[in-house]
Amino acid sequence: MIKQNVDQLEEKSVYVIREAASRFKKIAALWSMGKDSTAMLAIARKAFLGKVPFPVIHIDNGIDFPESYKFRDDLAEKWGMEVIVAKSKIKPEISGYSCCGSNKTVALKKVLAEYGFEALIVSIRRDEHAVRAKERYISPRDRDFKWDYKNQPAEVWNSYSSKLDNKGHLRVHPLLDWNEIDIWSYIKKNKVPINPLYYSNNGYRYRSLGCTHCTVPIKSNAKSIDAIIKELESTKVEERSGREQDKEKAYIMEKLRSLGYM
Amino acid sequence: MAAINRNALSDIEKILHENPSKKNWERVQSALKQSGAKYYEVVYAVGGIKREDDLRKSIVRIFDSKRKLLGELPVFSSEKKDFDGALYYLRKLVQRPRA
Repeated sequence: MIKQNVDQLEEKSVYVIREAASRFKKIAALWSMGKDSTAMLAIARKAFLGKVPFPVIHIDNGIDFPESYKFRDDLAEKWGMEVIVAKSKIKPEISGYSCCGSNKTVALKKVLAEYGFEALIVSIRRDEHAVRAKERYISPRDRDFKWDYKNQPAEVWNSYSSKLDNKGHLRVHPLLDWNEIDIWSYIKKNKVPINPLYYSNNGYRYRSLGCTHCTVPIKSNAKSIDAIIKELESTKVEERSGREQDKEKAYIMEKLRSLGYM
Repeated sequence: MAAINRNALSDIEKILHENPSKKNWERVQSALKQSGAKYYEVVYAVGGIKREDDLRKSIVRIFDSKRKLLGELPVFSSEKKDFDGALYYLRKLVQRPRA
């Protein structure tokens, strides 16, 4: 995994977040209490003089890790964030990820309709999955949350399209060019609080965090950020290998994203 | 409403297995703290979660600081037509370290 210059990455992310906040009156950020979305909120605080100036949405299926709930409440209070908890229901849809997928999309649609958000800041990275590699910094979704990945606006010379024709919304992706090591380097450099589940506990830790049902830990003795970074420098295992939903084929992941699931 | 024995997780188990309402989950919070509960371990139904019933068959095991099993609680809260996962109510606990 190649380390990039996190100061340059941060600069671009700050620019993207500020651009989005200035163009859209009603904007919110999605927060899963994972390292990426927490780092994104830390960047937002830098962009706006220590504040997160927009609401933060947690899509909650009720079976997240208890540590994640505690982390959410503690950090929301510490950083003075407005957290909107959108409840998603567990229902049978597609085998393998019945607690995610369209259930989370339903919860998100409800929140968008209720609050009228025009844009959502989402902390995905291109290196996480082949499907996410097709994303744009500002990416349109139609009213049904569908993503026309074959027909996306060009993004040249840091120029982003914010045009929305079909009463949908826009997804803002400030962390697209970051990779996993960059996120950890940023967290270390800026002392960003992090979910304790990322650190090793009795020889295991979580490299990627989902809910208790679909996330499995990896064998690791990394109890510090330095140890995590050192581990990542030599690993050949994908970041999301411990996430059950991603064990499905890549085309199913593409289908999920085209349907509006992050 | 009868007082909860703060030193027995069994009372908490009984209350929540009979009626895992949000009110009862809130009601048992201080008793849970007093019971010595420190760790949790979620055990999902065989075959995973495909429907609401699978969550009803799942349990969360509660352990003390010496990893002694204190009891088992439901993973969900429900009342009338409202059904939710309930792991938020265990946010003062940490995951049981693996052997």
